[in-house]
Amino acid sequence: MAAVAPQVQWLGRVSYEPTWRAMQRYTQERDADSPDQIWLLEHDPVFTLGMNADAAHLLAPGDIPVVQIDRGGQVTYHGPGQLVVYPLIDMRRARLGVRDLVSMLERCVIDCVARFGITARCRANAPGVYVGDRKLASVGLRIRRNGSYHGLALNVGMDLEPFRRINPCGYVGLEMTQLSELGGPHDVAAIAPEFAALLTARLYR
Amino acid sequence: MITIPPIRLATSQDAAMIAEMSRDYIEHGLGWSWTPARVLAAVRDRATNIAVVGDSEAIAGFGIMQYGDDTAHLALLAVRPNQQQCGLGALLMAWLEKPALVAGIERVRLEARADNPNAIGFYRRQGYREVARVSGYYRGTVDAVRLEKRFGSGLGTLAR
Repeated sequence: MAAVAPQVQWLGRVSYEPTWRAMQRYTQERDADSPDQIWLLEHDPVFTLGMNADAAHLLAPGDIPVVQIDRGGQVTYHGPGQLVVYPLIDMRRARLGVRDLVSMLERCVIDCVARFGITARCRANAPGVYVGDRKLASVGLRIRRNGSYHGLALNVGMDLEPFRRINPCGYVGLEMTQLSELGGPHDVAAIAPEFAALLTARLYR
Repeated sequence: MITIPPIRLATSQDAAMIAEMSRDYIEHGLGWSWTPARVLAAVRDRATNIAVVGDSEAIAGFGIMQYGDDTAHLALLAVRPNQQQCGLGALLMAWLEKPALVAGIERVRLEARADNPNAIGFYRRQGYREVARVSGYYRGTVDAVRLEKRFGSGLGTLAR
């Protein structure tokens, strides 16, 4: 049980860079008494390059801005219609390792989409959540001073075209999917509370 | 048919056998520092993953990785001699490297006994490069070769 109740916040649609800087700052300044925060939001269109990104996988970004950032993983796209979840967790207090948090985020996606009759799976050799061969959700994190930031992106009801301007996660030809194509909801705001409830139940049970 | 054995996280029931394998296959001639109690502490440490192949009565191989903010450290890796040359070591390494990749950890470091060219050759094949030789690293008697694999080299390479 966490010493302090987590703060869950719906931030709405926000631009990438100020949000990234804010979670870096929170992680840098937090102490043992600071509450965990779970931010749920949508981003304006942006390509982000993770620590392991090869710029060659950024095929034709066009008019969408590109930001080089400090999370793990490769290149990805964020945009309206995608649920982004940033768990700012005191990993030591929560007794979590990186593998635990990644598995927990993946498990929450699988449980959340199962409520809409969608069967999703994670893979042993690559992070993220898949429906068949297509990727539904991506995971990339950073840990600083025992605090996690960055997190999860779940495609809900969005324009998937920008993913074709990159090799998502560094895989040539990896196809993305989203809940609206699978018979699930179209609206990020509709699924965000449910996802937050699943995640907090797992984190603080 | 060749089946790829599943890799799992070690539990407290695996601690004794992991410690014995460390004593017999890694620490021979150096005393025994990875005792069952030390392995058990590593099992319980959330910043450490112990990957195991095989069930607790018959562990074929294991690896212990400690994850920091920027650097992960491979503390131990062993595959039973009669199960070597099957790719288990490479599988264990890839499994243990995965959280480092997801979490933006920039490098994995490890030390190998300088008197074990097979181990050094194995790590080179996994993409590790020698960065230092540490005199007397093991009990002041055996030198170590420190090897490193960098993951974060993408940062700053964005072509404009």
